[in-house]
Amino acid sequence: MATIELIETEIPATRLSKTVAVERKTDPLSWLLPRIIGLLLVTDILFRFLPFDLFCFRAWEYMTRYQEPGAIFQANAQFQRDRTYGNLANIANLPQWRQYRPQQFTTDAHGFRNPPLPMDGPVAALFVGDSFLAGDAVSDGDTLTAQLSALTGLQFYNAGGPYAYATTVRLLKGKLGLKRGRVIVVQTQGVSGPMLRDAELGTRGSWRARMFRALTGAHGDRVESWVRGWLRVSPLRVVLQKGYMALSNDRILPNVYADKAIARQLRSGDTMLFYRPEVEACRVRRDMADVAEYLTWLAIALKQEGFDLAVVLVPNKYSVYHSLLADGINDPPLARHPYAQLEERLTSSGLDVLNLTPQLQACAARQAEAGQYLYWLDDTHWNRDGITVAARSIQQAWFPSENAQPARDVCADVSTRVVK
Amino acid sequence: MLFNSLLFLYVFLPVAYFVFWRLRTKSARYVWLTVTGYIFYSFWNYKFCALLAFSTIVSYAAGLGFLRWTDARRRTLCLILPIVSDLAILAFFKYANFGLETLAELSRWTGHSFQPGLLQIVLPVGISFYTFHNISYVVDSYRGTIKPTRNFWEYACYVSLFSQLVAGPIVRFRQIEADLDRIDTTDRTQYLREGWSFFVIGMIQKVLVADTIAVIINPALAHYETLSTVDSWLCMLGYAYQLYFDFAGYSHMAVGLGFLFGLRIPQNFNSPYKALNIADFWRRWHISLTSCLRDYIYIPLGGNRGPGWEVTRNILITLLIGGLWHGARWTFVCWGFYHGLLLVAYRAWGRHWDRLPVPARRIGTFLLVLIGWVLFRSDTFGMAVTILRKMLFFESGQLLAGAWTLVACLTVAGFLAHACRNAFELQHRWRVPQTVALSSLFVLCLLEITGARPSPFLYFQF
Repeated sequence: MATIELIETEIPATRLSKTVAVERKTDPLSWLLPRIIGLLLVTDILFRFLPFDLFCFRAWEYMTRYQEPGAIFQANAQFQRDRTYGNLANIANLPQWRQYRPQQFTTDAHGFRNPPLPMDGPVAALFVGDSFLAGDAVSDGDTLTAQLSALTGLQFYNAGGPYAYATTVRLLKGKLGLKRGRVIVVQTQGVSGPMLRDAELGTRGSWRARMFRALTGAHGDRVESWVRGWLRVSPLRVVLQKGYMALSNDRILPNVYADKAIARQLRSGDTMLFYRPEVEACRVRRDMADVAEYLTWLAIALKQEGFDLAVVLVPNKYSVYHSLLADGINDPPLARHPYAQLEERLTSSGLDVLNLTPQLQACAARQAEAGQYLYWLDDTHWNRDGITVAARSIQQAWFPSENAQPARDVCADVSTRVVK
Repeated sequence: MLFNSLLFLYVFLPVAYFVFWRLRTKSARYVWLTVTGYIFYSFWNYKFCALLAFSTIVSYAAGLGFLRWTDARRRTLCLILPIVSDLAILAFFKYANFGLETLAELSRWTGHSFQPGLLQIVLPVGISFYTFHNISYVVDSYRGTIKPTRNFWEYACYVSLFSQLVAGPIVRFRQIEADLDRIDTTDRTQYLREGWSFFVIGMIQKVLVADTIAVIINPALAHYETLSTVDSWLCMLGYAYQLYFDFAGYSHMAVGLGFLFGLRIPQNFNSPYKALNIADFWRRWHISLTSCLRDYIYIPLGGNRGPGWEVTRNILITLLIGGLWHGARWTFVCWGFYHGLLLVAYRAWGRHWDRLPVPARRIGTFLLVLIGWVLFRSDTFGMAVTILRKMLFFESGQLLAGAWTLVACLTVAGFLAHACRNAFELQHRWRVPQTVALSSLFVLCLLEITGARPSPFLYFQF
C-alpha cells in the first residue's frame, strides 16, 4: 500500500528549487568561477605563443603544426633532439619501452623533407607517400630519398606526407619547374580520405582556404594554415595530457592508452610494440581493390601531366615480424598478404611495381637473430636499416646503371644503431 | 558538445549567456534559446535537428488544436497523432534493431530461420528525453493541466533548451512555464549564485568523482571474466556511485545553467542512496522520469485502484517500460522487472521491512539497488550472471589496476552520497574558505577536462 501511495502522490522531491530572495550583490563564487574559466583560456592562448618544440617529443608533431599549403610540414624549419622516441611508446603510454635516439628533421621551402633548395641537379624521380617516405623517426640523412641519392648519385625529391598524390605532383610540378619524369609512390596502407578527394583538392582547396583567400588575397592558404595550426594544437593541453598519462601508470590509474599498442616478445628476447589496428588489419582478408583503383587512376592522371608512375609497396611492421614472434604460434593466422593481389592488379594495369615484402621479411629474419631490426621496436615505422634495404631494392630495380654499382645482397652490412 | 568540454566553457556558454542578456524582448530571448539549443544539438549530428524540429512542430500544432477545438473527437486526434508520431520515431530509431534481433532470436529458438538484416541506424542523442518533453506537453494540454502556448518560439525553446535537451531532467512545461513567461523581466543577477554553485557542484561530481571512478572500472569490466570477488564488488560499488554522480552531476549542471538563464529546473535526484526502502528509492532517483512514468503510464493503467493483482500488474508494466526506456536491451527490461518485483514485494511485506533499524534498511535498500545495477551495467545476461556469481562466491585474484585510488574515490563518493546533504538541500551561500575549496576543485576539473579525454555522460546513451 505504501508503495503505491508513494508512487501516486505528488512526489515532493519534484518541487521546484526554492525561489530565493533577489540579491543584487554578486557572491564570491559567481565572481570567481567565470574568471577562472577566462584565466584558463588566457593561459591556453599564451601557451600557444611559446616555442612549440618545448612541448614535442619528436619532429612530427612540431613540423605538422603550421603546414605549408599543399604539404603537411612547416616550410624551412628544423627540429633537432638528442632523445626522441617512438610513436607507439607514446600513444600507448609505455615509457618502459621507449627507444631513445637522436633525430634531425629539416624541411625545404615547399614544406617537404629535403635539403634546402635549390637542388643540385635535375630531379630523377619525385617520390610521394606517407610518413614512411617522409622519414618519421629517422634523421635527414637516413630518409629513403637521401639514402637513394647517396647510392645512385642522383637527385630525388621527397614529397612524403600528403596523401593526395596527384594534387601534390601538380603543385610541385610548378614549384620545381618539372616538365616530365618519373613519380614513385611509396604505398603503405589502404586508401585514405584525401586520396578519394584527390581529383578535386588541387583545384578548389578547402572551404576554409577559399574563405581566407577571399579575405587575405594571395596569402590566403598560408594564413588559413597558420590559423588552423594555431587553433588545432594546444601546448597547454599537451602538457596536461602528459601529466594525465604520467598518472595513468597502472598504479594510480589504469593505463587506458595501453590498448592502442600490443607488446610482443620476439624470439631474440626483445619486446616489440605493434599498432593494434595494424595487427587486426593483417588478420582480415583484404583485396585492396580500392588502392589499385586509385593508383590506376593516378597513373592515368599523371600520364597526362607527363609523368610515369611506379609503385613501391611497403609492408607494415606486423606482417614483417609476425613470423619472428616468440609466441607467434598462438597468433591467429594472417590473411594472405594483400600486397600480393595488389601487385598483380597493378602489374596487369601496366604499372611498374616493387613489392618490398619478401626483401624486408627475409632481411628481418636474418637481422633479428643478431638482435637487430628493420623497424623501430617502439614505433610503427622502419628505421635506417629498413630504409637501406628499401633503397637498395629500388636502386637495383629501377636505377641499376646509375653509378654502376653491382647488384648485391640488399641485407648486407646493415646494422641498427640503437640508444637504449 | 558536452558541458564538460572546453568548447562549451570557452565559447558556447559565454556567447549564449551574453547575447541572451543583451536581448530585451521575450520573443528575442525565446528565439535565441531555441537557436542555441539547435546549435548545441547539431554538434552531435546536425541532421537530427530536423527530427527535433519536426517533433516540436507536431506537438506545438497539437497544442494549438487543443486551444481551438473543444469537441472530444478532434481533441482526441490532437492527442493521439503527436504521441503516435513521437513514439513511432522513438521506436524506429531506438528499438527497430532490438525488435529485429529479438525476432531472429525467437525464430532460432523455435527452429525457424528468420534472419533479418539489421538497419543502419544512428540513435539521435537525447531522443528519449525530448520525446518525453513533447508527449508530456501534449498529454498535459489534453488533460487541461496546462494551457498550451500560442507562441511557437516559447514552445520551441522549451523543447530545445540546451541545458536539458540531451539528458534531461525531463522538465514538464508547467514546471517551467512561469519562468518562460517572465523571461523578459528576469533579473540577470537573481539566480547567479545558485547557477554557478549548482554548476560547479555538478562539474565536480561528474569530472572528479564519476569520471575518475569510470577510468578505473571500465577497463576492468571490459574483462569481467577475469575479475576476483573483491574486484567485482569494487567495480559494482564504483558503478553505483559513477552512475549516480554522473547523472546527478549532469542534472546539477543543467539546473545551474538553467539558473544562469533565469529558468528554474526541478530537482532530479534527492540523495537516492539514503533511501530507506525501494519505494523511497524511486521517489529519490531520476525523479523527473519517475513522475512521468507515474503520470502517463501508471495512473492511466489504473494506478493503485482495483484489486491487488491489477495493482501488481500496473507496477510491473510501469517499471518494465521504465527499464525499456533506458535502452533497447533485455538486461534493461530485466532491470525494470527486478525493480517492479521489489516494489511489489515491498507493497506486500513492507511493514516488516519498516520495523528494521534505520541503518539496516538503508544498507539493505542500497544492496538491493546495487544488485539491480549489475543488470543495468551488463551488456548480456551472461555478463550479469558472471558478475553476480563472482560477487556472491569467493574467487581470488589480483587487484585491479588503480584499486587503491578506486577505494579512495569510493570512500569520498560514499560519504557524499550517504552522509552529506544534496545540492538542493544546500543554501549555496559560501564563505571564503568554502569558495576557495570549490574554486580549487573547479580548477582541477578544468585541468582534467583539458588533459584527459572528454567523457560523455552515461545518460546520453538513453
